[in-house]
Amino acid sequence: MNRSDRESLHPLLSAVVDGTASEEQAVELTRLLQSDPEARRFYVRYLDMHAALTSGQLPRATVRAHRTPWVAIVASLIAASLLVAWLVVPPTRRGGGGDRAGELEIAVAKAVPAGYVATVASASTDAVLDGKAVVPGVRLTTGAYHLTAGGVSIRFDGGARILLEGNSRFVIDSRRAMKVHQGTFVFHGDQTCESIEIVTPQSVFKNIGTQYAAVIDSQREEVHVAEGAVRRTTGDADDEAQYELIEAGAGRRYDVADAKAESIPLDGELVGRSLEKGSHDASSSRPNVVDDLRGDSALLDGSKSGSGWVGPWESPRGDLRVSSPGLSGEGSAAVVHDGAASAEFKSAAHRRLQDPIDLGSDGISYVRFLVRRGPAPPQGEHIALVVLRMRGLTTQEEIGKSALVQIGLRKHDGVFLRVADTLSTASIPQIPGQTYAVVAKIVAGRSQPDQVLVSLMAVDRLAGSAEPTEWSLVSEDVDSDLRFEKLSLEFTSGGQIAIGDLCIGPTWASVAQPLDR
Amino acid sequence: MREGIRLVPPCKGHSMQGLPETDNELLINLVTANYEQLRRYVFTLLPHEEDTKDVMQEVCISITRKFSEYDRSRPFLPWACRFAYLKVLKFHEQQRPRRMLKLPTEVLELLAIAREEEEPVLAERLVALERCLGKLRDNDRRLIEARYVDRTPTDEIATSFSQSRRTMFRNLERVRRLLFDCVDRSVVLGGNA
Repeated sequence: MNRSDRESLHPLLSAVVDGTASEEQAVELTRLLQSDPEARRFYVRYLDMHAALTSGQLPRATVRAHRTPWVAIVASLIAASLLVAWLVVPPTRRGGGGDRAGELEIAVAKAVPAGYVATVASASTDAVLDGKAVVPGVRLTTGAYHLTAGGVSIRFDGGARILLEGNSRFVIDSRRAMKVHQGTFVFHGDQTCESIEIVTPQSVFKNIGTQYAAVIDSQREEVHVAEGAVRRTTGDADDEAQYELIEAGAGRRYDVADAKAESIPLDGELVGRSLEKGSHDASSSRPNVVDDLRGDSALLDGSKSGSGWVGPWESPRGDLRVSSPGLSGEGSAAVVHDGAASAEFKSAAHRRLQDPIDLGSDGISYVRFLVRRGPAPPQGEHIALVVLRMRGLTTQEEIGKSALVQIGLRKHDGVFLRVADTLSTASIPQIPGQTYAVVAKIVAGRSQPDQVLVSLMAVDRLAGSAEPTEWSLVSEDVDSDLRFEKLSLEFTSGGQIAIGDLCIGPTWASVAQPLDR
Repeated sequence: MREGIRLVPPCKGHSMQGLPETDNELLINLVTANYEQLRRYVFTLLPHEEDTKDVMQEVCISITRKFSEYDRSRPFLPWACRFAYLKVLKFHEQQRPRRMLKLPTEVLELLAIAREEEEPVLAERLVALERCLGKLRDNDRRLIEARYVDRTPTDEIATSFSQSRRTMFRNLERVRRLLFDCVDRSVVLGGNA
């Protein structure tokens, strides 16, 4: 958008919100919005300002999931501890914590442009993507892919699923757009999913709450619509206004050589294909860290509970106790922070992992814990935190290097996730006294970005569940080589908080089962 | 600026029968907490206050009916915005909006995407807007109060400011531009504008 367009938008939008726009102004505005992403951003910001003013209320800071403005968070956390305050200030952007000669070399983590847009929801056992076996849970960035064998079901972050079968060549352009150069795909979406534009050599398909399938090769293209409708254009800019609406029950074939289109019977078998048979069974995998927190004493400090650790729990203040039954019934145990019964409203415990979580190499880890929080105290914070951190760093060094992942709950409805220098928050109401399961999926990439996704759910929904199609929180992509060797439990509250049944595993299924006791 | 109008509890009067008591309470809490953001979302796609009110009623009904399908592990607002988007499209198809600007469906979709991408920035801009309102000169602030808080008809605003309607609209445009530019600067400079 050039300066002149920007200048012209002010009177145009002012006329729109005052209801005085002429027909010519409406046409001019539509032209600008159609052609210019900058104009659309300007429009959204201008209209939102007007809408906020029309509310009749003083504008208030509002918090939404994903990249909460620091300023709003700083205000609300002003009284919190150093560690908590650290949540809200992006260290690498502050320029603090510089390296000192001779100190540990740490790769500084920083946010990178968005890359991950989809997840492999399921894959057949023989699936080979870009020359490698593919397993469910793998995150996919934008880019070109070649599925040489088997089948994969890809779930876009906007909710739609696309099943592809080998031999398929495709390009993921964004969370709303992909190209299929060759192959067979089945699209599943509904009205709550984002639409996906699929470009093929002859067509541009756009779903309208749909289930449809297509076969794409160099000679012909076929499309079969089972539900909803598909809007097809040729992708030629001159013909953009001309589109074909293919409705449920219809099939169409487009012949490349003679540019002919004809109706064909719906291929129900094709549209109904799924990966249920012969797909990966991830339920057999086991967690590599398991901790039911049952030790020899009533205090967590010194406890050697569970497996997958090096050494015992260390709780410097020694005030965290273990209570039984814990959060998963008879035989379970949980570590309890009771800020009301103690002079301390902060407590923490740390333990070293046997197998570090390394963001410098390709892999996926799932960290799961159960948490139950009593009513939030009338004043002050109410924070339960699980932190992955490096070893041998002082707090100041951690701050300076953004060398950690924090997964936490705060206040009565807050969920937050800090990954290096990025913070994501969401408001998800939680009932005091109810036990919740928190699962964090840590996607590590050697040459791809790192990302963490968090799901918060009532505990009774976890056992035997499938990996969620949507997550409570998704971090920004981060490019780092951090290696987490330690896990901490941290509490900041004048009330009661319990954490139990901690485990870390390679798949969702491995952490979605009750712990063996 | 003096305290403005309080929101009427949203979705008031809509039946929520069939939902368990705890769901009912959660629904009310979620809709109340997110109503204003939802309203602003709809207004972006349908910039007319009365049209927006009509669509918001429909959105509330849809959310109530479909609430059992809401996945509580996900943030509520994006889920609710999908209903709002569909209701805006339906409104465009079935009714003649009470305004000159009738945006094509393709543009509405592009705006909905832009709005989603801008949400974090919009939250930050709201905070800045509050600061910028405090920096307006008295006359300009009175104009904004008359237009937005008192909701005085434009003819009456023009009369009370001894201005022609044309001048009054130009002044509104000028003050909105001042606010918009102030918010831009404030966001870029982290509140130091």
